[in-house]
Amino acid sequence: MSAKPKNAFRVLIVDDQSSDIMNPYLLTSQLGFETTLAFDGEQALTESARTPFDLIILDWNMPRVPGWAFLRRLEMRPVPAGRKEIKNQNIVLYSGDDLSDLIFDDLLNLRVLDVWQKPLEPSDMLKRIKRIKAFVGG
Amino acid sequence: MQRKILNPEFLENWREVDPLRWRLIVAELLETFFRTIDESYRQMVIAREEGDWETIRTLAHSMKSSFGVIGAEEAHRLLQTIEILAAAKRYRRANVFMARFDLIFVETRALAIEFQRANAQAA
Repeated sequence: MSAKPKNAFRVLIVDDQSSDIMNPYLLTSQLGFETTLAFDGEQALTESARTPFDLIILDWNMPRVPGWAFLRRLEMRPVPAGRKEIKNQNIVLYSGDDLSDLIFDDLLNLRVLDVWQKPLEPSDMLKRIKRIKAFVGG
Repeated sequence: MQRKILNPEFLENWREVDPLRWRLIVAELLETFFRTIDESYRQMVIAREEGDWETIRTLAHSMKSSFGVIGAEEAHRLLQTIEILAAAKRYRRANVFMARFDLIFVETRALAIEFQRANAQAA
């Protein structure tokens, strides 16, 4: 699902729980972002192959292809001509688990801009999204 | 830390985000909540009777999100604990928390209905 304003900031939200997708979806849509939803890592891989996203909001704990597996497969995938390298992909990790012990160097050399602990208050999430948008530009 | 059964400030926080439409957003969030939790809870009761801890763990994981998103702090925390204990196969401890969750589920649901009514009247 996505709206398609031209030159909009493109966001992919990946979460297997529709109740967790609602808040980031409502907020990014309200900001006029072009928001795409994926309900598992597999679907996220398909969407990210199709569209160069400015930001991926990624749930960590999903069945089938969890967040870390999605990132690994993203890293291993060849980069199409004209697209940015995977290491420049902007990521926000979103989880009900405490991710503070996660050592990102062990995973991948990706731009993890923020880690959100569920549940996040809507106004806090909105501030974080705006901050990321300002940082990333686009 | 004292957790609230239903923290109204969590949903009312939407007023800061969208002062004009926040009640509609809250109505939609509560509608989604009620649409999912009764069936999930019913499945959890059956899974408990059958000793199906993998299903309990999966349901706790998904229900935790549903409760968290409306500010039901106590239920969210209990389900998080049940999920962890079920995954660790600590079933006797998990049962203790599930008994508490039975009570909290009923209280949370009742408070959410009250909130939904008040929100609809104010809209």
